[in-house]
Amino acid sequence: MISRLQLNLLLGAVLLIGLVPAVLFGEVALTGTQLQQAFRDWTSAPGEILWQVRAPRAVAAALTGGALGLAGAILQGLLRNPLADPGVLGVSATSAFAASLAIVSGLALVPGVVEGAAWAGALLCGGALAAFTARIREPEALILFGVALSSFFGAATALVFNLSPSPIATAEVLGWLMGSVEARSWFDAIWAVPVLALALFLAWRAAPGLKMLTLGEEAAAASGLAMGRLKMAAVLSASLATGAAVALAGVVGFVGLAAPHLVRRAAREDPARLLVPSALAGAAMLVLADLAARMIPTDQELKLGVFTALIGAPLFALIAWKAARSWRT
Amino acid sequence: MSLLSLRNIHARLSGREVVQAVNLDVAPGEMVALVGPNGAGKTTLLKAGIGLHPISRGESRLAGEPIHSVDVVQRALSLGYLPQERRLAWGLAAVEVAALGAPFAPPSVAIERGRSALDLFGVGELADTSVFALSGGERARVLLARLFATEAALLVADEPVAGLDPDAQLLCLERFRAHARGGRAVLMTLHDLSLAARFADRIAVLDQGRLVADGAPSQALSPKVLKSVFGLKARWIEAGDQTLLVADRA
Repeated sequence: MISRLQLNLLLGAVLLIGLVPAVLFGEVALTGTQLQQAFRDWTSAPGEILWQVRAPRAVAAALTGGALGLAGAILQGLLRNPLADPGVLGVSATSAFAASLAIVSGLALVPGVVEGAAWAGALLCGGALAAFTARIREPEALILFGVALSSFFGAATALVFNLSPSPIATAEVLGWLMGSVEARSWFDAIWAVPVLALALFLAWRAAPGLKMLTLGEEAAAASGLAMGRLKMAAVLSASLATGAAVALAGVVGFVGLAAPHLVRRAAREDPARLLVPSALAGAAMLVLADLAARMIPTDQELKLGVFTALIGAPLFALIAWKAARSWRT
Repeated sequence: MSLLSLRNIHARLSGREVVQAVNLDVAPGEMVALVGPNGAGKTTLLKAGIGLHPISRGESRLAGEPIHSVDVVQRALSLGYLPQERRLAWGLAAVEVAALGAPFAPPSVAIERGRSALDLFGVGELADTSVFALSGGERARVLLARLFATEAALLVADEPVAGLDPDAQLLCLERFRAHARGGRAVLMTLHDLSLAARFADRIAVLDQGRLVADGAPSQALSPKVLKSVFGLKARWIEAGDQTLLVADRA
């Protein structure tokens, strides 16, 4: 059994190795000479492709995947449910609704407004969930509240489509909902870093509570840990991370669900030990998924959210089947 | 001074008053068994008594302090609780589950306490096994070990012998009695009246939310109480150094 540090180093190495082809390969095939030129002169045309197009895109994919992997691990620990992910609690839906509203209002031309709206939506939902968590102890109630939020804001987004005055804005919203890190700049990627750092800090604070919840709500409540505060930190952390992901890439499903499962056994099933490995696994997954979406020859580039959903849905079914087996024991 | 003192406790569940005017004390050195038919309000009373369920009227005191004014960390250090719910969310190693009893100890100390507690319940050799790979009874012992790893003065356990084989039931109750004998105390719910009579110093009988008897086992479980509360036609027989309850439906 590998240690926590070894696991994190291994996943970090996988992520770095995944970033290499994500930067080197793309729609435009560069020759060896061009690659050398790109490394020598960052302002050359090949250098621009590598360092101003592919590298920020790959980093945006890594940050999005990392944020979703972290949010998934937190929510699964919090809800004691292997099928939880940021979509379940309505954070993704609320965030996507706010971004859609900004797009159809014609605010997409102002830099940062759509991203800011996505943030605001995620934080509003996170705030509502945190307030709910402070009053209600049962995780099932939180899931139901989240499902209600998710359904409501899903319907509200459909209403935005319905009432959208411009087909161009509608197409833009649709593109956002399908999820992509295409044409992301360094600016887009970098400003998510401090927010993700805050999400990681809150997750670290919440980690002992997530582990204690293994025993169930009652035993955790009697453990002496300030479970109310720890759960609120967990909800806020997951909301911040999901908001970062939606702001960066739109709606990308299943990474938050799948990443924790990929590393759960290596993390000895410990929901506290799972957080960083899950973020790293999510980052590596999305970098590779984005590379695949770019490299698969299609007339139009595959949208990242569509690609992850196509891979993730069968995985979800497999996890549900396995989980059902463990619940029977 | 009692470690736990319940005064005129009333508690509601889904709008219904399921605990009414209960007075109960658990003193150092005592092992108290709370018995009663299904739905009598035992679990709600335990939870209300230790601050995990709202008290609608009355007061609970932990070592003389009103339970809700005791700092949660101090409460956890003085009081260990084993809930009826046995489902574990994740397949942690048994020793890690047991070590959750000591969340404020340094990790190495917590693991050591967890390991000792697993040994106490005869599952030390399963320390590194995932709890998902254990049988229901083994898992129940791991959770008992988690309770004992708290090293709290007062242990409160809701049906601690549920799911255990007869040998493990006896081992479990011996451990609880030894805990009480060490100047600490135990309050537990039990369904097996013979085991309750054999191991408990005092038995409190709850019926429809009210305490109808509280005293030494032979007094609390009188034929009259057994008939009116449990619907049993019962008598006690002496067998060696043990007193056994022989019962039939009345």
